[in-house]
Amino acid sequence: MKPHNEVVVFLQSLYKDSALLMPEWVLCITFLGLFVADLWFKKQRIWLLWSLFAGGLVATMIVTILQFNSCSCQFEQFFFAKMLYLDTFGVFFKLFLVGATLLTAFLIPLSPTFRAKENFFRGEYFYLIVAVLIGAYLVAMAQHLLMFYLALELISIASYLLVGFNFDKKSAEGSLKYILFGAFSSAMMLYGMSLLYGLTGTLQVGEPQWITTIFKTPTLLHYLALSFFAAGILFKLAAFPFHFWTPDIYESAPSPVVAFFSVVPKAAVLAFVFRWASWFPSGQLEWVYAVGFIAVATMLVGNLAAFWQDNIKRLLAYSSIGQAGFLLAMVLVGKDFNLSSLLFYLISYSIANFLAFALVDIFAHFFGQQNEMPYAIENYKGIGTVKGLESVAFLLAMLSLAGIPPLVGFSAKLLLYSTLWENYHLLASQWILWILFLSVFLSLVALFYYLKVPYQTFFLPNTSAIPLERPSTFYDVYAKVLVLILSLALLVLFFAPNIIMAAIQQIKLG
Amino acid sequence: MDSYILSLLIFLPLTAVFFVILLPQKWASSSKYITLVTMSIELLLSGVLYVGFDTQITTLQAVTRLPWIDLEMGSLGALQINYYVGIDGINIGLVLLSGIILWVGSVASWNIAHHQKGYFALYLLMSSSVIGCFVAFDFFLFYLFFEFMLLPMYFLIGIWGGEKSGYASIKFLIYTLAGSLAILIVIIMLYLSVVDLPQTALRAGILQQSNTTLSENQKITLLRQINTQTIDPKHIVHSFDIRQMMQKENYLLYASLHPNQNPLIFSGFSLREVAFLLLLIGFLVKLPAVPLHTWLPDAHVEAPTPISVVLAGILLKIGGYGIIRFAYCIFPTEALSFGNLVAGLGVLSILYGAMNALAMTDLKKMIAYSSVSHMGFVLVGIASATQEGVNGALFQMFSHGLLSSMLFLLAGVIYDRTHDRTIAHYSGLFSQMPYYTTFVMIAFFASLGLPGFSGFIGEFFVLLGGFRSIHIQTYWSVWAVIGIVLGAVYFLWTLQKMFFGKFWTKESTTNAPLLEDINTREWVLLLFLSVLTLALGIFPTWFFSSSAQGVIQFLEILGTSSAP
Repeated sequence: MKPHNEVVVFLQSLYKDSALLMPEWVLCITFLGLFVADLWFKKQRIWLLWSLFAGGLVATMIVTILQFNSCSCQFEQFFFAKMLYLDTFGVFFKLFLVGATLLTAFLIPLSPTFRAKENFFRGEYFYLIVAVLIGAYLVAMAQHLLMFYLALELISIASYLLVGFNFDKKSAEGSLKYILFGAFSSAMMLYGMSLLYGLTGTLQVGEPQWITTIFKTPTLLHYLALSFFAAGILFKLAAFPFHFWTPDIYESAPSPVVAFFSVVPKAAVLAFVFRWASWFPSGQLEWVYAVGFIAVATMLVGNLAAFWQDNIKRLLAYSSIGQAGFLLAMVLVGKDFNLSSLLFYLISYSIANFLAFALVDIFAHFFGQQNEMPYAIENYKGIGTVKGLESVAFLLAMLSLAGIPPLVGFSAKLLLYSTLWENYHLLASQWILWILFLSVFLSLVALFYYLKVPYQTFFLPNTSAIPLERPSTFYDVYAKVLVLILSLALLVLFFAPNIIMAAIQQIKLG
Repeated sequence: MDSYILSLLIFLPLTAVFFVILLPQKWASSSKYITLVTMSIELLLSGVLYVGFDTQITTLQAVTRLPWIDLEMGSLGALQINYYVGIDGINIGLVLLSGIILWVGSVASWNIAHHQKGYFALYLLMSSSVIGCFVAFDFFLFYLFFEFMLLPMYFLIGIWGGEKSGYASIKFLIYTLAGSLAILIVIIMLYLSVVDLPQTALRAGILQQSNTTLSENQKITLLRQINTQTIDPKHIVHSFDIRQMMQKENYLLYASLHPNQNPLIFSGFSLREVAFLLLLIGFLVKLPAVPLHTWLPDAHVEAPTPISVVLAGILLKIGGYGIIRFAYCIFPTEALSFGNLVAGLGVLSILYGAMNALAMTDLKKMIAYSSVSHMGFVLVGIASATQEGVNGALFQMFSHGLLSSMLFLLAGVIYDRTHDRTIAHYSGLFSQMPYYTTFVMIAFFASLGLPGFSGFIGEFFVLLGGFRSIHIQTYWSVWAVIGIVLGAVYFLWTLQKMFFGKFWTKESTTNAPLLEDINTREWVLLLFLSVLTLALGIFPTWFFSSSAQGVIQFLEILGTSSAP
């Protein structure tokens, strides 16, 4: 009877553990609700679907906050047969992920297709985003390679579909490219995982001992295995050398989806990577060299290539590659202040990025009426006098990404440099000092391309015919309010960074 | 003295920005009145501040120190940023100068025709951050103003400037931002090395109340705890306060910027030397010194007249001020050891600037290079580290502020009338514009160092300090004298070519009736500045009395006050 007992105990533990998955349950219910509602409602009820979507996200957010509060005073634990791990660290990342998704939800009504009510009436758009979010939630908690792979694939598959949502030739091409790249890197990662399993005999990576085990195996072999494994992670991060897909995909996918991609999967994967960083014994410099090299290469590629772009979405794609490099530079060492800076940087980057993509869509709608290429930068010529608020907001978003005070991006950059300096001090490795100098230098380079659009809007005279003043619609007011709120957030968080930092400080790093 | 005046100086223009922005479009032209009124109040306030300044004491005056950002960073400790402003002998003159120049600039902006709201909003933003730069005693606060100033300037040059203003403004932005990023690195090194002892004591429980000061015993206990790392790292409060950065005891013993630690990195330079050089580079870009000056002529040529006035009159001074206040005060030993480098760069700027000015065909470019040349004296004065030299450097900054504004106003006068600034296209202007020529003569002679005007006093004291200094070689001063001679050459030459002789202008340039003499508004500005430069030239003690104590304290920090 013993085996039977074990199964019962196991099932009981699963049942008990499922209470810990409350936020994920809420997301699943949202997913199903949207699925059913999509079949039920008339195609014109797009706002209803949207409200259901946003409502589900808000509910998830609330449940996640509750989980964060209970976590910070009670427990950190493995659950679901040691597949997942629950602690303040993971829950904070989840909170960030759902926050970013909620922002995406607010961006969706601005996209030209939503406004035109053509080609859009598909509930899939909403519930695929929810699916990505579920995947991201699981990645942030994953402690088991199988779980990690499944969650990552959930993100990937939903993403492939989302990229194609403009339903034109370009979008289809982008989607296909994405699938090919994605499948390739997934396969590489899977191969890496199988090697890792062969080397260590376990898929359970959720313990610091695992790191020591892996370093006892033959050097060349475990380097090979880890590099293959890294492929999948770097693909999601859009980091060198797996960044090639980014510009094409960003150009062809709908802007809200792009904004979502530039934040959510990256943050989820970073959570996983950071846990590794915090397990590495601080004397072990292999991690610093490997991550440092990728960070530097990613920064260089992103920031240097961005300058030559003449399409705003491609420019933002390269910018996000560059920013991923900066983010990776904070994962060099797994200290608690690295985590604080990383999260602060992520939040600051996301707000600015979402604002930028919201504006890209607002302007695209504005230009789109007589323009074949609504995303070309030259469209922005002299638009500052016509759309003053939006142009200033664009400037603010770009300056925040470039890290100019008094915007929150500057605080984030300050924390990034401080962290690198402190890490240099900690490890006494000149390599980190060079990364610091390089990242400072690249922020200067970055200013060149971040000012490309403001240069067009404010410095050049308007040449194309400006559409006649239309009566402002609901969408215009909505756009203005959203832009105003996000711009103010950039300013306010500079003057009062404690609003975010106080929450980050509650994270206890296991 | 009432301490709120400084905050008023900073926040008044900021408040005015909102009024300008909220102005309905049909009243856009009244934004210049708002600006003028604001700037007049600023001028008045800075005057009140100057008159009320106690010249006998060395302590900081009109101080406001309020906690602003207090960021917990886990085991890194906390990061404390204060709103900390005040004045002493070093910056009081510069605050007054900003009051004067910004007022002059606002009057000179009267003719701005398009996008008035935007122009004046940016002008006010810039004014606020310029003054903030001079009075901030918290490095973060300073940096905030320092970097924020670039953006309004970028747009003011780029949008309201000449044909190639896009290029000029981005060049200005990139150069200055490169400099300020160098400063940012040093700020990060510094604040992570420096501890705010009273705040740390408060967190560690050694002090109970925030308003009490640390007793000697408590301080010793605390320092022992910090330096043996027995204190909880969360309790350590890192400080951006530059007064604390100047004291050795506030440095963490294990920090690499500690004056006693000083590990060697980068082929023989110690980290403190690297930090000093980075600060120096950051401020030299702003000053600007050769070879980091190339943004200046472009920016000046493309900028509208009032922006040139402000740029030359007050923005360049931030470079000199920053070297004195930050680079020298925080790294005194390193600064003295690099004395010859600083003086050498100063002399290079003097000579190279003067030679370039000689070769320029564009009047505004000639004046821009003369600025480079004159600001070189500031470097020589600072590097001499003597009482005469540093006083002279401060005086030179004040005097050059007045004179360069005047020169750019004068260049603007001719440009307004003919849209041509080529020196060779004019001759004998005296017969057409006698008053204009008179003011040009005053400005030129004052700039080339004619005794009786302020320019002479500044350069004279700098050279006096330079010849007596034991920290720099004497030949630097000799070369600087040659620079004065070159200065006389290009000013007199230009005067002779443009204003004397038979009246002639290039036909394509203009026809004679357009060349009206200066109008009332220009009269007021030029007379105001001429009287000031003359008064300072005759009674230099007006300035020196306020700067004396500040300079004595500065030399004490450098450890050179005992020198005769």
